[in-house]
Amino acid sequence: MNAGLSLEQAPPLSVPLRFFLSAPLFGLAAAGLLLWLGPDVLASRWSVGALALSHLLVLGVLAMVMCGALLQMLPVLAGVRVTRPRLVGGLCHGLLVLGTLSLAAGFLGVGQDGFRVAVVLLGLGLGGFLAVMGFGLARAPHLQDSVRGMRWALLGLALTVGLGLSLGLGHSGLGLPLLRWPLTDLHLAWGLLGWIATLVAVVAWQLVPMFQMTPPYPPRLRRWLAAGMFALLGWHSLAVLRGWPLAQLPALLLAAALAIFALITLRLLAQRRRKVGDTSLYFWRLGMAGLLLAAAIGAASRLAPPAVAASLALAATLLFLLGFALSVVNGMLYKIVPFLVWLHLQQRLATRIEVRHRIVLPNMKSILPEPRSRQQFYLHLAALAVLLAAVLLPALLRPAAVMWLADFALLGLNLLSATRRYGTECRRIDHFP
Amino acid sequence: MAMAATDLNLDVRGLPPCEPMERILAGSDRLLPGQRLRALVSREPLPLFSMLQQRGFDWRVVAVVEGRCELLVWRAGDLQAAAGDE
Repeated sequence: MNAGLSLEQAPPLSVPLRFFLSAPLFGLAAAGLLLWLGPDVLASRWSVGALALSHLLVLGVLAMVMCGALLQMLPVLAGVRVTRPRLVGGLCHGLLVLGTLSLAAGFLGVGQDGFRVAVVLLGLGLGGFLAVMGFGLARAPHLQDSVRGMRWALLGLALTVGLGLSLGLGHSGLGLPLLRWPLTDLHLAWGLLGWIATLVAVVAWQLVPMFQMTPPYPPRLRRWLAAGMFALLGWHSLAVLRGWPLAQLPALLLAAALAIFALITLRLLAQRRRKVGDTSLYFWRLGMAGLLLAAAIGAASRLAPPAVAASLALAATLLFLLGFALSVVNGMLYKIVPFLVWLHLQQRLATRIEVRHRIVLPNMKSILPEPRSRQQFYLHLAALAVLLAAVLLPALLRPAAVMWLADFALLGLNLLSATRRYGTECRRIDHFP
Repeated sequence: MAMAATDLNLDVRGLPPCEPMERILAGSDRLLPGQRLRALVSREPLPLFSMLQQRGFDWRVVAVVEGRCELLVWRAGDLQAAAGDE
């Protein structure tokens, strides 16, 4: 009999849900900031608005969902035991929420105090998360490709956080130097590629075949992509720090690796067994198209003359964050949340032996109905298109911000409805005559 | 491989989550004394195992290859089913 891999090791549903439900709120804050600041926000990557906005998005939305998903997924899928999940999850979540808000406030004018508080809170929150996950992964009973890949992704997060804390300390007025160059570029590269892209790829190996019923990813890709990206990022970092020749080469190879991942994912999605699509599939396809475009435009920006390189880099970053990462996160949430609700309802039902056979639980599709998520997908697509157009026509930025507000609001409402359904079904199970 | 005459067979490959687990749980509930459920699943259904345990079933993963997992389920304490033919 197989042993040791079970829902009993997984944290209560409230642990991942608090992360998932917080993400749309930070998305609303980011979109609200975009609406408030207007076109100036995209004028320079160094503008305080751009820095506050990007951190609300990458910490408050993307890292928020990814941390919550990892806390839930590792026990169920990899047999990794998280010690005291409710406490760990609660602390990580609280510190991440408050740390992200402090950092945004620091950028927006609160100044050195905001950065000092943010450094402490984010250092403790993300550092604690890394310690718990790293400890669990080091003792994982099954050394699957995903476990290996997650180790690389967490190393990428550790480097990103380390570089970010160095920059935060530089802003804190404690007499430490603010090494904007080269630390910002390295912080960005490790955060976007070493953490976000690597984790998405590793999670895709599990979730795409499982939820979309595609063939598995090629073993060689699963074996080498995460480690290869880590090595290329190491090469890129040393090339930047030491001024090596051919410094653009690792960046171009990274773009090629991501493009290959995107193309393989699109091919697998085209080979799925069920021909009827769903919202999650649309989000994954949009995400991979966004990644392909981001890789191509990002590579072009490295070779383009300075006059157009900045606009190309901005478009590539927007495509990566909102077209790729946020789309995939949406696609994952629309599968993970109903799946977790279903799993936890089954677990609850099993405890009521006397009525178990008389209660029919909702399936995944009725926990989060397709038409509601489909509406949000179309809104997301339109918001992305208008934002990209705003790179060339800044007057479109505020209309884009309004569309992003609606997009995040609808995502939040959809997730909330699944949570409410969980509560309703729990009460039905508990009070069934 | 010889198969016990009383085995219930269930092929849930190609069904979207969470239908394979729902059907295996429903099939397990129908098991008679001495009978086993032999299920073919696309992948090892890890979260299912604790649900089976909670409901009073034992299980054994007979074979796992990419795209195919064969699973045997029987009522806990049913020695005849547990002995089976494997």
